[in-house]
Amino acid sequence: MSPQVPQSGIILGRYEAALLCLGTLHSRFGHSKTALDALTEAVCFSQRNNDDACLTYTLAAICNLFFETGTSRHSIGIIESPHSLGTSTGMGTPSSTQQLLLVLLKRSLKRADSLKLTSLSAHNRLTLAKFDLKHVKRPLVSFGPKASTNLKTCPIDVCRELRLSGRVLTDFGSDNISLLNDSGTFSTSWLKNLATVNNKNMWSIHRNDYDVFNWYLQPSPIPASVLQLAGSSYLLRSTSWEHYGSAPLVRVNALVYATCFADVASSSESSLAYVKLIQHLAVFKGHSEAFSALKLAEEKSSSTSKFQIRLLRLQMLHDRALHRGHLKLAQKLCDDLGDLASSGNGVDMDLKTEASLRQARTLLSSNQFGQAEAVASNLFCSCYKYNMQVENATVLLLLAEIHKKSGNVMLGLPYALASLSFCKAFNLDLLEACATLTIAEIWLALGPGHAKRASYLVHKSLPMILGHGGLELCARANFALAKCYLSDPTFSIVTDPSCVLDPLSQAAEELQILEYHEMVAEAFYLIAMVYNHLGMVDEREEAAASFKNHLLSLENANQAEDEELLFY
Amino acid sequence: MEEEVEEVEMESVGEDTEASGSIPFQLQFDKPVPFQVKMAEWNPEKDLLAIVTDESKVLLHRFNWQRLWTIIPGKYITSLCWSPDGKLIALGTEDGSIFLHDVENGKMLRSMRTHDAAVICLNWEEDALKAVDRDRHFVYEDRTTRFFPPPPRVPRIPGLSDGDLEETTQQLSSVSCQRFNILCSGDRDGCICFSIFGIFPIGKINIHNILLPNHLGTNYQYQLKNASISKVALSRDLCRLEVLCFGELIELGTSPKNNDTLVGFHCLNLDTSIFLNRKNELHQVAQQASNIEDVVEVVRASISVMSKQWTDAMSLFKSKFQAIASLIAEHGLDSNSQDEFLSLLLGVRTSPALQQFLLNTLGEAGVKRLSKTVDNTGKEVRTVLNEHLQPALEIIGFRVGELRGLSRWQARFKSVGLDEKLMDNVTETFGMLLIQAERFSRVLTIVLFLFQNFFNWVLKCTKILLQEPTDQVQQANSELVVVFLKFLLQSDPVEQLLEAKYSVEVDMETMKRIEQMVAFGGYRDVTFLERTLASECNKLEQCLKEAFLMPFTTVSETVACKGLAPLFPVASPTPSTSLPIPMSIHYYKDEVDRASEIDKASPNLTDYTCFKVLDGSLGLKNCIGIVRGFMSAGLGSSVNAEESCLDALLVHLPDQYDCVDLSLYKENQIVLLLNDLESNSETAEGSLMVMMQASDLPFVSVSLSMSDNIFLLHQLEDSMMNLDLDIGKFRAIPHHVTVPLAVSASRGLACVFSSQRHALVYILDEDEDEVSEME
Repeated sequence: MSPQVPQSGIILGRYEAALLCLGTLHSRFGHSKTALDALTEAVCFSQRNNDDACLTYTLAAICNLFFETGTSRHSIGIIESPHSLGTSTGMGTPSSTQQLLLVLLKRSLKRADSLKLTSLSAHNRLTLAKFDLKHVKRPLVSFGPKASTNLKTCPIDVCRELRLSGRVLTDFGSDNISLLNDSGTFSTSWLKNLATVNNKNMWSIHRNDYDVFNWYLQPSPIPASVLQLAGSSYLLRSTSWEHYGSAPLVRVNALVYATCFADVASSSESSLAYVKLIQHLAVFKGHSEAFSALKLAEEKSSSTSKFQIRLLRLQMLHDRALHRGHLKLAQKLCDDLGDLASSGNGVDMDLKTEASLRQARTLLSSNQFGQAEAVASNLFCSCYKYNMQVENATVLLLLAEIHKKSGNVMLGLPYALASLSFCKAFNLDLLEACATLTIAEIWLALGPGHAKRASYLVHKSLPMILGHGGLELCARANFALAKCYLSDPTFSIVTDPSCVLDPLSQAAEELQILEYHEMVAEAFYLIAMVYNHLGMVDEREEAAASFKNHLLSLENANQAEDEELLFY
Repeated sequence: MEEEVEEVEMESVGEDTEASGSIPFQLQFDKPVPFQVKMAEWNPEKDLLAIVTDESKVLLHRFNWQRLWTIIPGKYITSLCWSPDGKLIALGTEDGSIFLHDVENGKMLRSMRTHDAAVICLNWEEDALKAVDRDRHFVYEDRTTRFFPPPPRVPRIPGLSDGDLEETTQQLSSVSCQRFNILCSGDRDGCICFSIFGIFPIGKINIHNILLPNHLGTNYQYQLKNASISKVALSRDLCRLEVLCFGELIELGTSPKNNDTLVGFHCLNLDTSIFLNRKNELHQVAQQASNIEDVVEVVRASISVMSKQWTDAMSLFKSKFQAIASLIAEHGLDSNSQDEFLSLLLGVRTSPALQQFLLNTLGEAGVKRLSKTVDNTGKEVRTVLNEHLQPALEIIGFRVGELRGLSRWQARFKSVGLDEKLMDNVTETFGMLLIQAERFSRVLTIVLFLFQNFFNWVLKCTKILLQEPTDQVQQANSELVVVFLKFLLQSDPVEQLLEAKYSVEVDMETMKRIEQMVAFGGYRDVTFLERTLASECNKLEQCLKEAFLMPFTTVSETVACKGLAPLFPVASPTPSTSLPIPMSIHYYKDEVDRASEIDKASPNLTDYTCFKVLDGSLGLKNCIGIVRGFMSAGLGSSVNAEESCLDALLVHLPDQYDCVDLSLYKENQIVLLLNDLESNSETAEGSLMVMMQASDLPFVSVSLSMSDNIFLLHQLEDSMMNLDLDIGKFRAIPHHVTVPLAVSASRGLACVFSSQRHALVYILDEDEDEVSEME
């Protein structure tokens, strides 16, 4: 989102505005260093000319630059320059680039508010919310040992910023400043619409024509940029709930965006909304529904948004390949993802992280534990280096999984616990529940003596997982629950078979939707064993047959995979 | 057991000798009260006494008799009780409503209409046994406070100052939800209602529909007819409910003969163990649900406030602009206001009618004033939208999502009736409401913008007609003026969205998009955009109601009767039966260590039921009955009906005294308030307050399986004990006293009221202060 060029500020002097544009363009094309030079100069000139508006926009542009280039990669270059930024008042020496970014952002926001640049202030609030989502607020001064214990992100702040940024729409027109500064484009669209309307001869048919989504009849006087900002706040809400863990809110907010803002949205943002919806489908409804939705999205998407959709396709194919046991295909998809991550435009850190994560996961499924661990540790190091704390939690959990599966169960525990504490600090509730589940599985693996403790942990994570977790996670939790009961020496299957059979059959059902043959087979195996114990022969045979079927389809995976590879 | 009793005896003897010479129950003070008192109840936590007068005023007094507040609820009050934490007062009324009042200022926080008849009794019990955590596995946190600022409050209508009521409704659900408690209420028609935290209704049973088990050794089952509840008491672990009721017992399957013999007072033992067994689940559901209901109320109120403000502004605008039509008619023109404005805009001509309207009818000042009004209204509506409606929606969405999540944990939440399908339905409706709100805010913004633009243009035209300079007036966009004239001069889309009665037309393009969204996991109900914001809100309320009805009915169905004890017959339903007879129920921690045998986790509770026998019943006069252990009878040993027996006793009071009221007090004591019938009110010894140790009394074991005499007191007539005033502590009160007797177990106080309109507070425990100091 590039900041709008101020129009009122130009009267005072055009040089700083030109510098601002130059800086924005530079950063757009990825020359962050030159961009920063231009922007720094713009700050100096704006201050010299008392051009407050331009200064505010420039500060916002610098924040954007920081944010987009990642806060630490260019930190060396940026940390050198704060003194030249002219932000000398009371800032002292910034302890980190993140703090510098925060200070600049707040300063820009304050100015934007006082100058009533509503769009800019909404934009700044969105950036601030994005920042708060992933960063712990550290007190600038802290005394005593207790001060450092409560390092957590502050979701309430995110919520507040998002609410305020969403007001850009309702506040439009309330101050007369923003009144129609782009009447030219509006008039054109109006004329165009008039023509369509006249052709359709519908001018007088509609009684209540003021339906907002009725773009055929109504050219909206609200500029698209304002609508885009308002829409972004919904999209960011959706993202924030992905972090905090509330599945219905992720979907609902993405749906609001896709329904209300689809027309005005930039193609990348609208495809982001679709990506979120399709991911939601994939996680909660299974692969087939998600792929049919993906097909629709591919038809809709324009060339610029192709990248995101392609990425999504790769991710989904990879997930499905892992579930079905098509490991060669999964490996190939991983490589493709890696290629996407470091394409000509420079390295996309988020994407690279994702590619490595998937790489490690693939290796894990093919039981190459040593290599998987190497990839994951490498990834952890780079995440640590670039301050990607939220990703750290995921990577640590993956490391725990690798150790758990490799048989070195005890080694996994510290990783899982570390992940847990990261999750707590960043309010990643769903991931926290997931980490708790992993710890429970580790205790289970340590022997029946720990079944009680494992059962406690599983129960603790259940409300979150069942409520907001996807099919795979729910199945895992149900599985773990059943195993807890089965390995508890005090539990007798005969007295209460349903408390084992119910979660197992639930898990089997969920896993079947995902075509996760390996785990379905395991579930049916356990079910058959339980029925055998209970002496219910018919049910036992049925479960055993299902077990066999899934085992067969897992063995046939190779053949099917070759076909898939050809097709792919 | 006997040792224990002896010990108690020793103590009381020791106390007596210690306090020998001095009279027990030191009089704290004696104050005149300027009204007749009907009910009085001590706060369980603080030294506060709530009093209901004969005129149904409610007063709150401090221990030093300083009055904190007086309220007049305007309804006839039939019952009173405190919340377990002492922060709320519940009042039951003649018409079946229950009011909750704040102890701080007496403000009404909530009113609920759960009954159809007078609420006779209330009982609010907290789960006191926190040590017994059967469900250690269940860890659940309400995440809302971590992710959201405090919920918005109900918006005020500007100009109205009585926002106090709404202001506090919000706090109720958040403050009182800390610990699990249940308010139980019984009415004159035999219905008993339960509500969690006093605000979330969770069950309703009609005792007429309950099949009563028999301990009589026969296969007959009983049902009650024409019953009215006199007293309800939940045990402190919430799993048993004792009900005293007046009614006619009907034997099923037999021809009704000698029915009048079975009319009387009965004691029922209801099994409410779901409140204990599913405590955590119910707690979570009630907490989320009551919060959701509160916030939905904010949404509803926001919509109505916005609607009110907008229609006010629009009716002003319309009334001003209607003048054009009549002016057009006066000038004999065949056109309408829209055309006239359009021709002015296009510069064709200015019709005399319009000119007259702009210059004379409306005038420059009029335009400005109207513009200002619409602008201000817009600001206010926006504020409500941004500060009340939108935040409220966010919170509803989150909480609904959490509840839906819980409903997916079927192993636990199915049994309390949280249904996944219904919750899914609520989630879907909420999503649609969110889109509706977004649409509304956009329509509002556009409409306000168009109005602003239009007024600017009209002002400019007026200035031109007046031949004044127009450079002060803001530039208006002509295209938007056309849009305004076409769409807003005649219709009002904002109002349409705010009213439930309209439906909105959706164009093909949008419809297509919505249908496409279904493939992406969108809403299956594709026609939702045809509804308005208000009707969508109604729909959400409807869905929530359906979803919350399930727990209500599920829990109601689990409440069953476990035991029945007919106490004493009443010859004929005389008017005296409608008068409340003195009775008291209390659960004491078991003095006998019976707990060790059964379950260490749950300390046994013994119930004591104490009541005055209606004069004339079974030929008895001036008697009180005491029943012990009814609730545990037949519970532990339900297999063997023979064993279902309990302890009971009939106490005959000295003939010269009449029992005015009685109350159970801590440590198995009974406090009786007796009026001396022989003395007249001037003499010093007007009445007596007697306290006796109930556990010392010579109880008789009575079997419930006796079939010849169905009423319990029949079996006790032979073993009737005459009350000897020497066995307990007593004190003469120099007044003729009336009901009520208010006893506070936690503070060791008793308050009695004389018929001469005096309130007397006695200290029941002399060493109360020392104990509290030691603690």
